[in-house]
Amino acid sequence: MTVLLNRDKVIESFHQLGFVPRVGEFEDRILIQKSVLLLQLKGLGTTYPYRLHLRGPYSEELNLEAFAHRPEFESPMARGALDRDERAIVAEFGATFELRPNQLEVAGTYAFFVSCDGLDHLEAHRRTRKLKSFVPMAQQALAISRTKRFLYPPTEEETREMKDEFAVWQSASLGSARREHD
Amino acid sequence: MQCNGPDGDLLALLAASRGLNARIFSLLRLQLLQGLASLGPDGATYRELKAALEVSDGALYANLKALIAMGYLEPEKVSVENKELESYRITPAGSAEWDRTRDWLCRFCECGGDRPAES
Repeated sequence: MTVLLNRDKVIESFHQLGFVPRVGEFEDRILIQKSVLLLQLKGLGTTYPYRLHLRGPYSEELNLEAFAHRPEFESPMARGALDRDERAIVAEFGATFELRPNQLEVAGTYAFFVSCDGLDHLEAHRRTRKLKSFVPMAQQALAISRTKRFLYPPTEEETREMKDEFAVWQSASLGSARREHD
Repeated sequence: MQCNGPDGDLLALLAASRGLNARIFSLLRLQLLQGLASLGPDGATYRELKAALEVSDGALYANLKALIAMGYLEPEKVSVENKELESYRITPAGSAEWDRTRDWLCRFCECGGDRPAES
């Protein structure tokens, strides 16, 4: 019952994202693995167990399920499995990330270190850079920044502190822009 | 006098080791088999293996080649973001050999795990 619920939510999420995976393609299996992990951590309500492997976080159960139900995965359709909040999560995911393997590899790995292993952001960043060292640094930074926005947004207090901290620089930069304009 | 040592098990354990392939007993080969066994048919790309295991190209390539020659791994070309990459996955023979080796190592550590008492 739980497995069916998991699959229904995943397939409907793909439908909402306009993602039509080809289960036989290595690249698309990366997208399936990492997008489900990120959606699950955000609260999609699926329960696939992920463990850290050589390739980063990976769910054998999800992989087996994708192959066992390949026609369903490859023709995703709406099936009434997501409630309003869950549809909002999928929409936010779609607005935050591009369905690109490198970006989702880094995002999923970083999120796993923070949310599953309980590492602080600095250590999670360090380990992600090591495990995904083949991804260019700029792409890594972008993916981690988007992951933070999606899963770990700053609290109001943190935002206020940041504003205070950067106020001096912002004011100086506005002043200098004005002088250049005049 | 205590006579409940593991000698009987140890002899059986040593006899069982003769059924294993001694050529996989290097750190890197064991790491490759363990890592790829858990990924099943999905496998992992060369660049993922290199990043995770932190080894030189020479060492990684030579050991992958040796495991392929033994029939334990098979290479495959895959495409990721328009780049063609080499990927490796474990074969059924590799999976069976890893299972045998893992079981034996677990028994070996239990039987031979006596350490001198810390002073």
